[in-house]
This record gives sequence, structure tokens and C-alpha cells, in this order.
Amino acid sequence: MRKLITLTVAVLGPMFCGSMIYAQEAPAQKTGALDVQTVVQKVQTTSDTAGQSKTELIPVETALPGDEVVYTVTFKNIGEEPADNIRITNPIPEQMRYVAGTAFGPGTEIVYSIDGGSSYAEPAALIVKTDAGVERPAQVDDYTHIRWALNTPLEVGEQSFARFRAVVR
Amino acid sequence: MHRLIAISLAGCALASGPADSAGTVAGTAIANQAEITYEIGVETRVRASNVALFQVAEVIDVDILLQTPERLVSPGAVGQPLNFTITNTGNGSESFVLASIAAVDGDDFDPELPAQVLLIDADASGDISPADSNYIPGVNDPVLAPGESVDVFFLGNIPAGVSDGLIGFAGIQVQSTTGIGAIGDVVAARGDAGVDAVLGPSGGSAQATGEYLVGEIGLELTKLATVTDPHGGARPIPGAQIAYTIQVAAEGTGTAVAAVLQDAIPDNTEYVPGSLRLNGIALTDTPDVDAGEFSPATPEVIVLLGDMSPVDGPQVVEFMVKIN
Repeated sequence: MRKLITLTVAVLGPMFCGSMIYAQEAPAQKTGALDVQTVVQKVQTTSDTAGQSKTELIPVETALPGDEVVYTVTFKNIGEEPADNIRITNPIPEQMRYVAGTAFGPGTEIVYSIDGGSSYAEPAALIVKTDAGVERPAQVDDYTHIRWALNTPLEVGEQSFARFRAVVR
Repeated sequence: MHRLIAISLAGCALASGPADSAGTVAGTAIANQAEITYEIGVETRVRASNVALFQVAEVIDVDILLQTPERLVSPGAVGQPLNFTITNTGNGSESFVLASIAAVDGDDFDPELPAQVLLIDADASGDISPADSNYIPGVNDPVLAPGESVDVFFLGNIPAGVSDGLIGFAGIQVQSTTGIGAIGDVVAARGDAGVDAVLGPSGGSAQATGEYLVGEIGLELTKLATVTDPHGGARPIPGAQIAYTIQVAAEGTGTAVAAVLQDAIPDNTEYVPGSLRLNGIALTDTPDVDAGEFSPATPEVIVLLGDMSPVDGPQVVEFMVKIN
């Protein structure tokens, strides 16, 4: 059985924008053999009565300019064959600034794009050419996409994740 | 069972985009959706994740800056403006209520408040002009977009009895109508688009004061010319002499220090040697110990009047020129 549900926010209008703040409930996509989920969270540090501080990731519903959030993409092989050449691509929202050095994924090579996802390279190889024709090293402000490439296949039932932090501009 | 949910976020782009200084505009929905590409055998597959979404809350922040340097005033002067610039430094649209402040610690006198104390520089001219509007709290509270500014004038009356050198502070307090408090305080659901509003470093409130300094001094010059022609008449013809009488009077309060009168000899005339007088006493034409001289290079007469204040009364400089 196959169901197709399409929600179009444009039709629902601003009411939807104002009230819906968290879309994590989207069901798993099982058309392929991998399930992939994205969550956005923030770090919360609390102290208990003994003075022990505890750090945890909690869901973000709202954030302020300057606040840092953590994006985590989790993926799991729910099929019956290993998945090979896995690449996760995540656009950095235009209102967010990537926090240098925070992209992480177990057993992955990580590359970045500064041209809207057309090309990717390691940070040292990213060069911005200004309108005046001057070349300069790219800064995190310039990053538009992050891509993680897994070094090994994801076996059946295996799960992993890719993560980065960003600050609200 | 396969289910696919595609969420289009086109409708949420209404308020998006970072503002210049205050950060991303309040109410902006920030969406993120990852894509995963992989191979099963020889087949390449692409899947999109769900959309992770959160909204930008509103930061309430305000700044007020004095634009008028120390304002020199005379006793009894009315409607003396101090100019302030109020800026919405938050990331949402906010209205602000204003209040005048006349009683400030550390000064010598308080300005008196006229019936209409605050004036909004409605035409953004930077000066008081007919287009400006009287500020009435709750009626025309300034509504400012993120990063937007408005100028407001504080109009103070200077008490008649204040003496030279006294200082009076006065200013304006501005408060967000959404809420004020400590940094980080949350005003739930009161931000733009119904998001929470959070108080920024200003706590939603700011004030600034300016300074009135009593002691404005002005020198009033009155110049009279009397023509005497060679024929005993008063026609300005070649050979006629013009006797100038210049009265210099200090007006206002305070002291004009080391006042100097410089008066150029008009074109087509020449200075009559030895004609320079100060308060009826002849001065030499050369630069020396007396207060005056004739400087042929410019040419002009120069008279050192010294410190002048209204109680000393006016001083009178006289000299003559001949029409060529």
C-alpha cells in the first residue's frame, strides 16, 4: 500500500507558520532501505541540588539571534541489504551561520559547499572570489551546505548520525 | 507501507531574512531538511528527511542617544530643545512609550516643563519644524521596525532666576510597550507573529539625559556711519570722510572672554591715520601696549575689548575713513 500526503504551507497560510513550530513528527520514509530523520535541538545545562551540572540536548521551539542550535541527522538501514556510498547533504539555512569545526559524523569524510551545493571541498580548499576579482579563503559565513560521506557501508539494522552546530544570524 | 510527506515552506518566507543589525527578524521560521544518497547494489537512491523547524523569538531592545552637546541657555529661555535619537535595537517591530525626565541628581537646577514637553521629529529633519508632532503617551507612541530610529526633542524652560554657570540635567526615558524587566525575561507569546518576546540587554527600557548650561553670552554690534563731505555736506563723494561709531554690548549671561573687534576698511576708502578711539580715548595706529591698531595689510582696525559681560555696559570704538 502506498499513501501520498502532501502538505502545502502556502495554502494553509500564516496561521500555520505561527502555530507550527516543530515538524519532527513526520513519519519515517521507508520507500528506500534507509530511514532518515533530522532534529534541531539546543544544549541545556542544568545543575542539580548537589551542584552537579548536567548537559543535555532539548528540542528547540524558538531561539533568538545569536543562539546556537544543534542539527542532527540520524539514519538507519531498515532494509535487507547493506547500503553503500552513503552521503548526507544538509543545507545550512540562510538565517543560520555554521559554527566552525562542529560538523561531525562517525567514520565520515566531511566537505563543505560555498556555492549553494554545486561543488564541495575541504575548508582549506574553499576560496571565495569577490566581485573585485580578489580571492580570499572562505569563512563560515560563506558556507551553504555540508556533506558527510561514509567511509564504510551501513549494514542491515545499523544506525549512525551526522551533526553540526549553527548560530541564528 | 510507504508514506511520503512533502512540506513546502514557501508560505513561511514572509518574514525571513536577517535584518542589518538586530539579527534575524522575529517570527521567522527556520527550516532544515537533510538529504541522503546511497546505493543498494547498483541502484542509487535519494531520500529526504523530515523538515526540522523552529521559529525566531523576538528580542526586545532599545537604545536612546543624546544628540545635543551641552546646550547653552539664558535664564528664562523657553522651549530649549535637547535632541535624542531612539533606536529599536531588537529584531521585531515594537512600540515605545516615552517619558520626560526633569529631576536628575547631580545638577544645579531642574528645567521647568511646558505643557508639551516632548516633540517627535516627524519629518526626520533633525530640527524643530512645523511638521513635527507633539508626543502624547498612548496616542502616538513611536512604532519602530527592527533597526529603525526616530528623533525626539525634549523642550525645557529655563527658570528665570538661575545664574551663570549652573547646570541642569534633563532627558527622556523610553520603554517597550510589550514589557520591561531584566535581561532574559520572557514575555510569552507577545512577540511578532505570536512568538515569545525576550528582553535583551536593555531590559526593554533605556534613558538618556542632556545638559543645560546657563551662561550664553552674545555680543551685539551696532555700527553707525556719518559722512562729511569737503563742502560741508553729507554726500559720499571722493574726498568725503566717514566717521564710524561701533557699539559693542554683551547680551545674556556670563562673560565673553577676550573679545576682539576686527572691522575691515571698506573698498575705495582709506583709513584716516590717528582716528581710532576706544570709549573716547585715542589709540595709536601701531601694534603696541594700547588696545588698538590699524593693520594696513588687510586693511582693518583691530581693537582688543577684553572680557565683557552685560554689567560692564557697552564699549564704543570709533575711527574714520576717507573716500577715494
